[in-house]
Amino acid sequence: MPESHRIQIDLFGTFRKYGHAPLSLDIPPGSTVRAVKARVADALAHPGPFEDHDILKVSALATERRVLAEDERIDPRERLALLPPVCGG
Amino acid sequence: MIHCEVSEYPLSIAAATAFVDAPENGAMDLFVGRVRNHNLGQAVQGVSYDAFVPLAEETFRDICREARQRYGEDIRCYISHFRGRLDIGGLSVIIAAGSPHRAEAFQACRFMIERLKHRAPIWKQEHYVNGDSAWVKGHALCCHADVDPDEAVRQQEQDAHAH
Repeated sequence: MPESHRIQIDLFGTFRKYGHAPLSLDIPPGSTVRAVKARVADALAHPGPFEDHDILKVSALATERRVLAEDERIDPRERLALLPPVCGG
Repeated sequence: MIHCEVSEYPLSIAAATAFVDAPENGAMDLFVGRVRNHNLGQAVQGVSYDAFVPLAEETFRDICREARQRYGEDIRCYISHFRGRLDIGGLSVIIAAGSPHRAEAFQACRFMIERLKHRAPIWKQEHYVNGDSAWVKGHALCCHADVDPDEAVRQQEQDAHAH
C-alpha cells in the first residue's frame, strides 16, 4: 500500500485569493475530510499568512457529484473542491 | 422536464419561458435575479459570480426533482445561473416553472430559488464604486441542515419588516 496519495483540491470564492491553480496535498491513505481540512490552512500559508481559519472551519469538501461529510474518507481518484459558504442567486 | 445549466453567456428570459411552456400548462412563474447598485450601504458597480460547475448543475437537477416530487411531476422546471462578471442590471439567475395551474407554478418557483441560494456551490464577489471588492457571506454546506423553503420565506419577511 502506498504511504501517501497526492490529491488536488480546486479553490473557489474567497479562497481564490490563494491561487487559481488547484492545491496539491500528499495525504495518508484513508484520510478523512476533517484531516484534509486541517492540512489546508498550512498548505495555503505560503507565501503569505493564512487568514481565513473561521471560513475554513465552515467550508465543505466536495466531489463533482456531492458534498462530503466530515468523517468520510477521501477517494484520491476524485476531483475535489473546497467550498466556502455559498451565496448564489 | 427539467433544464439546468451554469452559463458564461447572457441569460435568456425567452429561453426560460419557451422551455416551461406547453399546451397543457395554464401557468408559468418566473424569477429573475439581477445585479443591484447597492448592498449593505455600499454602492455596487458590478458582481463576479464563481461556481463549481459540475456540482452546481447536479444540485440544480436535485432541486428540480425535489420541486416536482413536492408540487407535481408534470411541472416543467428551468434553472440557469450566470458565471462571470456582470454590471448593474445584469441577469444572474433565471428560474422558471410551468404547470397546469398557478398555485404549483408559484410554489415550485419559490422553492427552487430558496433551495438554490442555500445549496448551490456558487459565490459572488461584489465590486464597489470606491474600488474595493468583497466576497459576500453565505450559507455553509458542511453542516448543511435541510432548509424548509416555507420557513425561508417567513424568515425573509420577518427580516424585511425588521429592517
